[in-house]
Amino acid sequence: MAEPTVRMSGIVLSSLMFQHLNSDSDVEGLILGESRFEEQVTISDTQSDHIHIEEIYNIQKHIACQKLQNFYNSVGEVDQDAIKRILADNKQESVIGWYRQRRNTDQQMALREKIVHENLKSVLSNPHMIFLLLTPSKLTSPGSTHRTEYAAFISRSRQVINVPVLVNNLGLLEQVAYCKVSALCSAVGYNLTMKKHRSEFFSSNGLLRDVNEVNKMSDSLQSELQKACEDVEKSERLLEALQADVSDLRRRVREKRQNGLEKADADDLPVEPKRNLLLHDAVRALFTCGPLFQSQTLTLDAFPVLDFSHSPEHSANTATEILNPETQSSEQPVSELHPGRTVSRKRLIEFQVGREHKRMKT
Amino acid sequence: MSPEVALHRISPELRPLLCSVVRNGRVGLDSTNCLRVTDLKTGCTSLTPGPCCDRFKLHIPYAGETLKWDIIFNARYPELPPDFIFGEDAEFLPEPSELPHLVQWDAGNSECLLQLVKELIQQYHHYQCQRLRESSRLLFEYDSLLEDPNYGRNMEIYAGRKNSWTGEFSARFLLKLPVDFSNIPIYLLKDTTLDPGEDVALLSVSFEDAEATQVFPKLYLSPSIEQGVVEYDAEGFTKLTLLLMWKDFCFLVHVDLPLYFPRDQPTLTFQSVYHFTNSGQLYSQVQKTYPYSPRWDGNEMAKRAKAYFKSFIPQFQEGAFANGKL
Repeated sequence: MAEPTVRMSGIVLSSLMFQHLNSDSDVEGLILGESRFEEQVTISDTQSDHIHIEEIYNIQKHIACQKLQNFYNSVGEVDQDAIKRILADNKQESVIGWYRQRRNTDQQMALREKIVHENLKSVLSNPHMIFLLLTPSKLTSPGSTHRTEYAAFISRSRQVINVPVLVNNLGLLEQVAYCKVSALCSAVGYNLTMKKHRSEFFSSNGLLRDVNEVNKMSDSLQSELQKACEDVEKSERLLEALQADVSDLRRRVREKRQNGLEKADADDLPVEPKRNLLLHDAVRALFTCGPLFQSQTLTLDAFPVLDFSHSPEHSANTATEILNPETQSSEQPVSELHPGRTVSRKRLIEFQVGREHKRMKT
Repeated sequence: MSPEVALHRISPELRPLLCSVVRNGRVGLDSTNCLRVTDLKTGCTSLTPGPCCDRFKLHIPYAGETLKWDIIFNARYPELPPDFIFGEDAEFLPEPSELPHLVQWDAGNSECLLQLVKELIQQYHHYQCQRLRESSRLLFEYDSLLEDPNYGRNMEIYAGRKNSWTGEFSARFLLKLPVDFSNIPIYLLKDTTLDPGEDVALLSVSFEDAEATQVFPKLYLSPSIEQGVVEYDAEGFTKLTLLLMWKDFCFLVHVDLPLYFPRDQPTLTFQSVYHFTNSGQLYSQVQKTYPYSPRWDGNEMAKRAKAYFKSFIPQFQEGAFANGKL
């Protein structure tokens, strides 16, 4: 449903009040202006599109009647000829209602006013007409302060509805402080001036010239912003990949350390030396028959001394001969290779053949 | 505001019109209540010298309510007809063609405003009857009374507003009871300047809900009737005491309605206002066997009782003089 609003300038309101102040009775007349319907579509995230129709009556001018009951009779019948005489040069289409000012009465439409209003609508063939009522009264008994209440009424289905009257630049600012539509003015001089100078300020599409430039600048800024956003995105992605790599590496290092510690903890005994089986096989193949290899006697310089008591048959078994300290001669054998050197026997660690060793894989 | 004050303050050109209203302004069934004028104000500037009041509130008794209508003239245009604001009844919109005194407004006719107000009240009555259509039960009650010739033209209807919380609709019927007051004896008035008006007995019936499950009756008697009635049971209406006079002999009659009235006959107790018994009580005689029929309607019963009084009073008077002490 349309929500009606009546707007008028302070000049019109003060002119009305001035007229009544200078009259010793009730006054009435016609109101000229423009009425329009605006459809507002509100788009919201929380609900579907809401269409709101605003019915705006813009009061631009009033024409006072010379006397009361000038264009209607005692039962409210409207005389169209009288209206034309009152309007004079003004167009009948510009009539959007009528007004009455009566002192010391309630802000309610009276019986004849309602009848006149209905008849005026039908005579002027305008179903959207307003009735403006001003009711001045004394606020203090000595009469030092007076008050003028004003209200507008429209009738729908023979029901009278009170419509708020907004006086431009009077009162609290509306929520949306910016005027979406410029105030209308019917003055001829105003329209001529606007037509003459319009092209200096407005482009062909009706917008202010500066607005077009600002729009272009805004577009450029938008594209620059977009580029910057893309660069940021790329660098962010790269950073993300690097961080992932770093995390992975750290994890691997952590695991390696963890494994190393676990291995050291597991063996309290000396670490089992790694056995090179291939080397062992090669040495055995080459040197098992050699008398030097079989010798268990070393010089002080760790050179082997030939020892012919061992036959090649004994070379297959790398038996360990533990030097018995009791049988050990007091004379230190002398190395034949290096006669100046003293031979000492070494104790061979028993070589365990056939034991599989696991190679630790890293 | 007394009528004199109102007439003093009103604009001179409008004074005749207002004079008729405040002096002769008896409208509706309750003619004992006059039209009252308050809140006299002016449409002229505050610098205009008085008297220049040309707008006021008119208080109109109707169906037990008081309507407060604003009547707006213009002192500078006294020939123009007034305009009206009907207070809370903003939806009341009478057809102008039904208001002959508005169509042919004659400011020179001092009765014009009063007649116009009566026409508006008549239209208001139609408007209220239309509103009764919101309740079929109340409409039925109204239609039943309308068909009765005793009440059809002597009714005022007020259809109350719906309670916005409960949605309940209430109404009040004010009925003028068809009672013959021609034999009410002469009585003294306390205020001789005040016209007591027509003798009337009004019954107000309030329906508190649309289904008429809560009904509250009330009886209103005009001052002259109340002067003749010494007392009566205002709740159950089962007792009545009348002060009557026959050939300069004043006496009281107590009428007691039994529990199973009208099946059982009322008891009539005649009491002298002059004579006492030996025990110091007023001399009285009780009558229970006078002519009576439960099939009579109220008026017939009253008529027959009145006839019986006329026949019995002489012997009661003789008895009082013979057996009572002054």
